[in-house]
Amino acid sequence: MLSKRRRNLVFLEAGILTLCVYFIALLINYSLDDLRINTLEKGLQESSLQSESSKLFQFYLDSQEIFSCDVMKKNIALEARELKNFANDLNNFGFLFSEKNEDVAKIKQREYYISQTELYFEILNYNDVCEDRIIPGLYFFDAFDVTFDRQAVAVESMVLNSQNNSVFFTYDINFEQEPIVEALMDKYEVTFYPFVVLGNMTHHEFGRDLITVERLTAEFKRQRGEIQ
Amino acid sequence: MIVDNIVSFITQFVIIFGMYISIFWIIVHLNSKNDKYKLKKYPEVTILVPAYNEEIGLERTIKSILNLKYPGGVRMFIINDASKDRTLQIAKAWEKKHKNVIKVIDKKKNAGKAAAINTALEYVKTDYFAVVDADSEIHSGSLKEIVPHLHRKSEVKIGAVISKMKPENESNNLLERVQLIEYMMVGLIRNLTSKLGLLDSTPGVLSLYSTKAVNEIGRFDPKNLTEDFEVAVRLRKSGYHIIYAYSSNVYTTTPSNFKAFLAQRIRWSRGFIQTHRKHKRVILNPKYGMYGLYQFPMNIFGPILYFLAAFAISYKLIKESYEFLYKFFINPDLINWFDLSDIGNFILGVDPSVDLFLLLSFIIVLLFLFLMVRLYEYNFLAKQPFKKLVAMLVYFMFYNYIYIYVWIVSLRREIRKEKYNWGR
Repeated sequence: MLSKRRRNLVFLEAGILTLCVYFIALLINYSLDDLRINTLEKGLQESSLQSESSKLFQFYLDSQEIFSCDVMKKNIALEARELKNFANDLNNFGFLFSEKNEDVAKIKQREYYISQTELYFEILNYNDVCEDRIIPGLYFFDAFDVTFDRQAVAVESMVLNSQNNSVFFTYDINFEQEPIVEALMDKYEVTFYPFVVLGNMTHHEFGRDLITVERLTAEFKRQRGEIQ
Repeated sequence: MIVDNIVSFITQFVIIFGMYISIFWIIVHLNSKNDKYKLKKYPEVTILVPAYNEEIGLERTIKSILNLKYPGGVRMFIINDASKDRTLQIAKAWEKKHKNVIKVIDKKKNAGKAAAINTALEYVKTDYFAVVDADSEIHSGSLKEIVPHLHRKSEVKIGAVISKMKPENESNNLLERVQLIEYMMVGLIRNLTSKLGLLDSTPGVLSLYSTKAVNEIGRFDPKNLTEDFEVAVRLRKSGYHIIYAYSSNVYTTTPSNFKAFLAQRIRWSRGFIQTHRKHKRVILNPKYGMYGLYQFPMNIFGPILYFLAAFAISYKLIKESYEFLYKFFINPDLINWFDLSDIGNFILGVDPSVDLFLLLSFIIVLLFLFLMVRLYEYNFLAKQPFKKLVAMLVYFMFYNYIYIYVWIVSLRREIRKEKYNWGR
């Protein structure tokens, strides 16, 4: 049997060791932060590079007076894919940054919102000149609302089925928004969350409830002219 | 969202507190050894066998006591608590054959095990007495192993010594195998608590008491459903220590069907509640030292922690399963299956303040399992290895839900002050 003194020390030792484990966990998190930042920066660089490359190629086509909707569409799909990869990384570990790097996470989130809004306008320009329309979508949500995930599943499923003919851009309203995003929210009269804008149709026209995959798909096909 | 935050808080708390307790027990284990003592001269011991409708197991118990290899001499009192079956006839027959060793005390009115022991204590003349349940079997060397713990000179007052309990029916069905794991786990915890000097349990299957100590605290409480636990708490309150003799083996029959199992556990839980209610002033009372400040509150806090952990785990499991199925049925392509090539990003998504703790907890659980099996001196996987591993999995994953059910029913019955039916 342990002596009284030894026994009391055991309580203390266990507490100190638990604290040590906790601090080791914090230290590991700090060191992972650098890797996370590097990964996000790399993802953002790839995305901007893709965007620059597309623009350059478009510039070249314009200078040669060649007009190709196929090339434009292909470039949009590539940019959307890079942005999606970046968004996945942000979702995966953007919320895990330690306090000292919280600002970095916010900056990355902001850069992501700017990049995807740029792509949104690029798609609108494309739709002005090309017949094979890409239906852009905006998804405004409150991550603290339990229904946002269910609506996101419907949106994501519709996009998956669209074979690159629809691209959705997501905005968590808990983040400080860019003026342009706020302007879009005003334009579409976003008054509740989750709020979907699909092409030229807003959530108001779908009704206030969550929109099902079937309704989204039907509307997508209607705007693409696949059905009446 | 509020529920999510509460669950997240509970999870963090359970993980950190669980880590503290695990580290605590490991330090206790590393800082102590299992002592074994021998005596030059062994004192005589009286063994009390309270029996109520025990015609099936009594003979086996008597035989095992008669077969004890104990040099100090043994006297046995069989107390028939107004049994309605052949218990008395069986006891009398054995008394006739072993007049010098066995004495039968026949109670005309059934008053419960505690009252039966108290009646027998009037006749006990030895310094030490043991209580053996009439459905148990004790190993021939067990008494010789436990007596020295009580008879030796010690810096602290020792009031009782308990034995290592083993289920004798351990492999007939899953329930028995799960109970085997439970007995092994409880054995490990009792061993560690004993090393810490805070053990507060004297189970009915061969516990040896100091007659002086038990008389001093007013003997057993006839109103309590788990008199063996209640008497242990009073021993602790009076400054007596209880020792776990890991080398003394006793065998008990565990319930083979779920109904009997539930009935037994509800009785134990109700007794536990009664005892803690009766001795509520011990909680956080510095007068009782570390027992009042740590062990007794932990007896209460433990089940609450268990309940919280089960709630948090169930909530997360149900929520994530629902989300998975929801996505799967909407569109299976939405599921992000684990991809080995994406291991880098997977690691970046790890939260060390949760996942490191979980990883260490897992390692500690494995260490505990190793200690548990080693303490048991039992070639655990020699017989039915696969079935026993399944039982282990069931014990760690699902047993707490049964435990919670038992607690809820017991609490309800105690609040309603329902009478206990022994079911015999």
